[in-house]
Amino acid sequence: MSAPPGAARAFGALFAETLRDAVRRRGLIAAALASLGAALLVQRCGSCETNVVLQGEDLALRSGQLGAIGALLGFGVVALWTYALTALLASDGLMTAIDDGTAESTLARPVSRDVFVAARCVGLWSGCFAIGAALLALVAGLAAARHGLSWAPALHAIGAVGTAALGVAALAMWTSLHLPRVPTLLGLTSLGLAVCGIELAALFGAAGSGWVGAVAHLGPAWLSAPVAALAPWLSDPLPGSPAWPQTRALAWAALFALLLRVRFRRVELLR
Amino acid sequence: MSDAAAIAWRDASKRYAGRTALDALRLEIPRGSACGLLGPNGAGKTTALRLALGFAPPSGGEVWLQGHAPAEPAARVGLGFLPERLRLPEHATPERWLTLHARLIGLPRDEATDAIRVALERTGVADRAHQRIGELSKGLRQRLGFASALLGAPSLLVLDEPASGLDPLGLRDARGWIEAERARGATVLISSHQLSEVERSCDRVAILDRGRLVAEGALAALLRPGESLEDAFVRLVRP
Repeated sequence: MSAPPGAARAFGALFAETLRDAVRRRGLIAAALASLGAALLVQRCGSCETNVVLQGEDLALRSGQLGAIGALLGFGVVALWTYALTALLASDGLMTAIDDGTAESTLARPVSRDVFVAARCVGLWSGCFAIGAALLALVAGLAAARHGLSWAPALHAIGAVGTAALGVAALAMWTSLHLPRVPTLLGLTSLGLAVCGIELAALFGAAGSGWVGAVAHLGPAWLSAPVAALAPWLSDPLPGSPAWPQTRALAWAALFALLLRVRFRRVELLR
Repeated sequence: MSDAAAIAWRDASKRYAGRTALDALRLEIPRGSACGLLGPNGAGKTTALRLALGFAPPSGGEVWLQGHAPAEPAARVGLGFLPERLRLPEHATPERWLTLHARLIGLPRDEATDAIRVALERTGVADRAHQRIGELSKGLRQRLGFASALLGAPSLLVLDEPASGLDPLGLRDARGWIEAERARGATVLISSHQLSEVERSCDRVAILDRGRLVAEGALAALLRPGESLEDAFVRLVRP
């Protein structure tokens, strides 16, 4: 009789299998092609020159700030796109494994449910985030080449998007254990739009009060975490501590992962 | 529970939506035995197996698998399982699927290669090892299910309707695999409607009806003189 595998070995095997499945799926291939198209579009738009004449203004500085704002917008759009792709694939990533017998055959082996669900979640997330990170790196590279913006804030922002996307993956899987896929996607889309809308308003100074204010100051920081990381690109500092949105993104990702873990432990495989 | 038990249900019950699928089942499968779990449709056989494998917790009572709570990974070390409705990933190849399972049971890479080759050859799937599972016939899929269950020389083999999808040659082969595992010292638990197969392969039987255990023990002790297992089954579930 063989020795039981370590959790790390089982995780590695299941992670690789999930990643392979994700790559095999047409959705991810379509997303990769869409990414390529979007990247080409970003490249074209980024090549525009500012053509503003303002008497008595430092035009070079103004041009650099416009470049920074453009790059920041590009980051925001790609971050949202990464979250959407992650939610799309994760919303059926776990249920597919339950329906096609993968969960049953795997959990009949000496593999814990925690390892199984973590491998599914991280495997799917890594496939989506790899594409998102490549696209974000392209935006950062263009910003560095054209406007002299430094790489360090961009790398922090890519990390923030990755953290937030992992939370989105866990949340999508957790929701899919309660709802069918279409309501799951509709719910996540509504939640994402609401959270990002509130965060965007807060970035422009409309903090809000009540639960809107709570989302702005204590929410998952899906948009504000990468924007806060990119603050060094801007001449005017953003309100609040730049570390707080990153902390929130990490804390919410951990909370969603914990929720998923607890819920999956109680899932009954009885079909 | 008895240390000699590979699986033990101690007053294990399972209820869903007001229906009792399993009612205070008290049963032990001794290590090294070959036990048939019998019963009409809806008797609770599959539910009993799924509680034992940790796929669902009991609503009441306890279940022990190889001396552990079924949810613990250690309980499933050395376990080979063939489910009733075998579902396999259509896009994978038999070799890749078995490679994943060899890693999950902790076989070292060099041993895994040999074990996979042996399992594929033994179950007659070797010449389809690189074909997509989705292209395999039902019988070949069932053989692949056996290959997975037999991978790594399991100490406990749990087979839920193992004859499903097998032709007479497949049935004969399956009987041979089960006998070989028994001869090796493995514990075998078979849930099946094929009473003749159970009679040939098992030395013990447990009969469930409407979620309750109605008979259990050595096959020889359960049968009356001149009675087949089918006769005994009908006598016990339709008194």
